[in-house]
Amino acid sequence: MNTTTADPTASTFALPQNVGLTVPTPPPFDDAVLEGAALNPLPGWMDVLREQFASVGLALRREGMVVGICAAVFTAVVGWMRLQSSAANVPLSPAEGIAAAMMALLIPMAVWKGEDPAHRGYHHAMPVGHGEHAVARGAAGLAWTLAAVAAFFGWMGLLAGVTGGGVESVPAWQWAAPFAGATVLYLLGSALTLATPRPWRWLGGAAVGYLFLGAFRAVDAARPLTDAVDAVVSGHYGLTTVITGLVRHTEYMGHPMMADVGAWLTATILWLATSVSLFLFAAYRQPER
Amino acid sequence: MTAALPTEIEAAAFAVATRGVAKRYGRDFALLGVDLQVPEGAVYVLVGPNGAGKTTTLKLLLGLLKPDTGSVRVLGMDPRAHGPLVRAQVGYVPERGDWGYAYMTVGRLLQHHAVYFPAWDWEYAANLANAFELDLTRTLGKLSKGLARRVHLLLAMAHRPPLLVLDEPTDGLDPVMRDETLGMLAEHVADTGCTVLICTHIVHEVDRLADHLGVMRDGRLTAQMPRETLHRMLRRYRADVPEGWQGVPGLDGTVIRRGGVGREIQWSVWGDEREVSLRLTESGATVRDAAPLTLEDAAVALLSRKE
Repeated sequence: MNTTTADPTASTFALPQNVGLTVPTPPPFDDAVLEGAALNPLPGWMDVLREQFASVGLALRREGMVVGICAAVFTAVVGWMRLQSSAANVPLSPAEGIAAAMMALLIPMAVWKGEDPAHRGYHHAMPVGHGEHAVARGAAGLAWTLAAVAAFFGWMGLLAGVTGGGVESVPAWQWAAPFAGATVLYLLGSALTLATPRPWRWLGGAAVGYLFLGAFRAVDAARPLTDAVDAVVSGHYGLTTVITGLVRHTEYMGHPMMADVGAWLTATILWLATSVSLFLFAAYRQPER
Repeated sequence: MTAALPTEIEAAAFAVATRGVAKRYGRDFALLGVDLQVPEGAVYVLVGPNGAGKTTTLKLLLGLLKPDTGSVRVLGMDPRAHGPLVRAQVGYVPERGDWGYAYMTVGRLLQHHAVYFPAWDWEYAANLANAFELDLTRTLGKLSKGLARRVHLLLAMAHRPPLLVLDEPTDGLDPVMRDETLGMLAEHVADTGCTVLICTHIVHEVDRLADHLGVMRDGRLTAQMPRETLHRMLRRYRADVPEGWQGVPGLDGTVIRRGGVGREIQWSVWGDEREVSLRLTESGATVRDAAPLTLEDAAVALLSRKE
């Protein structure tokens, strides 16, 4: 038998039976830093945050250009339609934030591109705590995401102004809903990206699953599952409520979706707490190869 | 004669020291009771075949992995307790060529790196970039493996860390650039007095730098020693043997590698030269010469040694 120690008190692993190795617990070192060693300093936290904000901006540059081109094409189409008919216009409402929030779900994958959990070598080799460093990069990505949502609404507002589409009259708090929704979805996307090597597969699988589930709505046996999914997506405290501030009120047949600040606040707090917890768990988890 | 190869190094201080380190992935052990000792100021070359556990060892030193058991000290600090401070003292070149932010230009990556290492020396970085013939405007993801390697070496050296940890540092470099890079590394060591730990399985490339050798196989550090000890104790004996020669009783365990043709034997033997020669002579062999091995031959001999 291949044995590395004769110490019967040594701690052992739960080894597979065919290995038959015992690993001793070695005596501890004297914790004395090399005398006279001049240690290089650590970076300042503000410097790290600033640099992460800048580097995430660079990471998002290509995706930003693609979105910009799409926006330019859309603007050109609206302009052409406006030339054809003065009735063609683009109204602005907080509900447009659904598109921005969906974008926020995908942004983390661009923030962490080339750095899946098993390959985050460069990021982890920096002289900063791994968890804190992941949070710093995530926070930088969130700042860019919220800036993108603001730019999206700025652009939509400009189109609404130019085409005479007008701005929907809603309570002021409802304009905060798309930003809350984008924050929640960004954090959920970040948690997924930090925790799994292939977030695209998970997101794609979830999307396909959601569509697939739609086909079973009429089946009684599938009702508990479809109800649960509907509660998460479009329920009273679901994601749709967080993103739009609108809640379905079935008692008002003519206006099924109505603004409800109480439901929005409750849903936002619940979803923010959940998404922040998941993000922090993923950031401080140290996957190893 | 005993055949025990040295696994302890005598030094006033160790820049890197591990004790009984074990690490496993799932059911497989990557490291098993590794006691690595890198003296302060040494250029320690850790050799071993692919999968021997070299890269895992380096990752443990930087706190990128956690050992399952055992202790690790880098410049006297535990990487698990003082990970950021340890990493601030280390210039690290990873095994992977596609390491880092591929969307950045080389110049932007240097700026990024400099933020994290306040000791960054821009003048030295510029000199290294010139010497490595790096175009700072090129995007990192579009560089060849060799150019990316030079960028990594620059990143590792430009903040003048007290410890360089280099995982296959010459991988992907063409012969000319390899020669120039090793020359610059030698200058860097002479200039800064830093400790260097190099992992490689191509020993001859770092021959001129190494002053200590460690041999790793199957997750175990089977030997480590100063080069001087290796030079003195491991020799290739060329001897003529008579018909029906029976070998050398008592020398069996010390023979690291056996070779030879016909009646001429060429054995690599670990031991005091005079004693080994005497044993050979007493057995009837005529020793023609006993020459020290090159670092690569020594590494190959130690790696191919049968337990």
